[in-house]
Amino acid sequence: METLQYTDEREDLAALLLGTARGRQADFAALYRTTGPRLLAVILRIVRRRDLAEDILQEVFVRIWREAGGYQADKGSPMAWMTTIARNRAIDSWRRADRQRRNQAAQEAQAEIDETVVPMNWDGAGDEARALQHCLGALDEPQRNAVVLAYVEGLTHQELSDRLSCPLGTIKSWLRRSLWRLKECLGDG
Amino acid sequence: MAEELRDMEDLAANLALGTLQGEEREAAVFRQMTDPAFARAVTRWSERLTPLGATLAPVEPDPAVWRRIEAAIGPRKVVPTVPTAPPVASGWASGQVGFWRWLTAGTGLVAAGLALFLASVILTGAPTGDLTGERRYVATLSGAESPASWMVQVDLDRSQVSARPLVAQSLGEAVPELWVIAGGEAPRSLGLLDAGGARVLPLSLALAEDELRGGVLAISLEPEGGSPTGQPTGPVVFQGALLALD
Repeated sequence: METLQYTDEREDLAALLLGTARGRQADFAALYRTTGPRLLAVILRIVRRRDLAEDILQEVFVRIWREAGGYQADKGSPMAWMTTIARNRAIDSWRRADRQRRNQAAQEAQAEIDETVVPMNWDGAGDEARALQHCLGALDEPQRNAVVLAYVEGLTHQELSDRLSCPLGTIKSWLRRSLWRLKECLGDG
Repeated sequence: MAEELRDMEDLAANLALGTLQGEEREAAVFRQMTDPAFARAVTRWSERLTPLGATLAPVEPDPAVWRRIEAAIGPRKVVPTVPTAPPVASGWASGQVGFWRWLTAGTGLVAAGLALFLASVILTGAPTGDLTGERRYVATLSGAESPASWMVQVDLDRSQVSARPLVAQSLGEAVPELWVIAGGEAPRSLGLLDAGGARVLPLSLALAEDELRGGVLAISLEPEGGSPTGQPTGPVVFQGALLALD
């Protein structure tokens, strides 16, 4: 299903979260239809297995249903709040999975995913995304790749070090410098 | 001090990024629970990085996922309803009274505190500026079967109505027309909408704030060019109560 994006999506999603908190299933269903496919993409990229990713998506939305009433603006934008729930759940699950399963999943996924470069599609992105795109663009490519890979695939410092064939210390200092520069570039405190 | 701040930012960013593991991650999660400044820094980093997730192509979940979610959250909750229909002006389509009673049932559920909450979310969460003193109303419109499908704002100060579809819709040849039902009057048209995207309409009606409080918005499907009669002629597919943002 096609989803529509708007710069003031924050208000729309906040209204749907409010409806969800009030027990309105129609609003919860709309929230799922709007954000479910995007959250599934985020989860799938981390855990790499469709069935596992859909199980996690289910858990994430059950949690959103239960905790929508606790959402407030100080938890970030609605999309950031929900994405954080989804990523944390996916990362926890991925790191708990035994090594054999992980290796198998990685091999199965290898054909589809370039191991070092993340395809980026900023079409239809909002103002915040464009600002991030601009600031990421100002980083050197290896540093940018480290940040993007870490976020999109949920990699640890050690996994980044293996993937990018760089010493652990280099990865850490790359990230430290890159993130600091991103913060300065975004200029949002 | 500057170095401490930088270390805190570095840890917060790495927690948000997901690169920490094991004891390091547990310690950072614990700090997030106990140190408000650190927790805020993590939230800000999550927010900064969230657009990265939007660069991935959305993946449509299997329909079974939603069925499992519905099963997990238990039986349908009962939406509180208001048993009485608002007064209906005499002289218009009396045969439709029963229909409008259905339409307006269940829309009087919104308490002032709820609107306040919504306003506070928007005030603190979105760069929309100071809303104090503004006269804005919002409604999410849903159908009898379908989930919330439209978000509409009525802005009396700017004399405009903005409407955005929340989900893609296939209405065929029909054109969605927006109506306001308020102040005990028959539906009044606010204009034609675009199922494919947001639209801002000039507000030509003189609507009093008293009317909008407790008012309802509805969308009917009309022939091209809109209702020929000035009243809804096609099915009313979405409706929702107006909330004051004050």
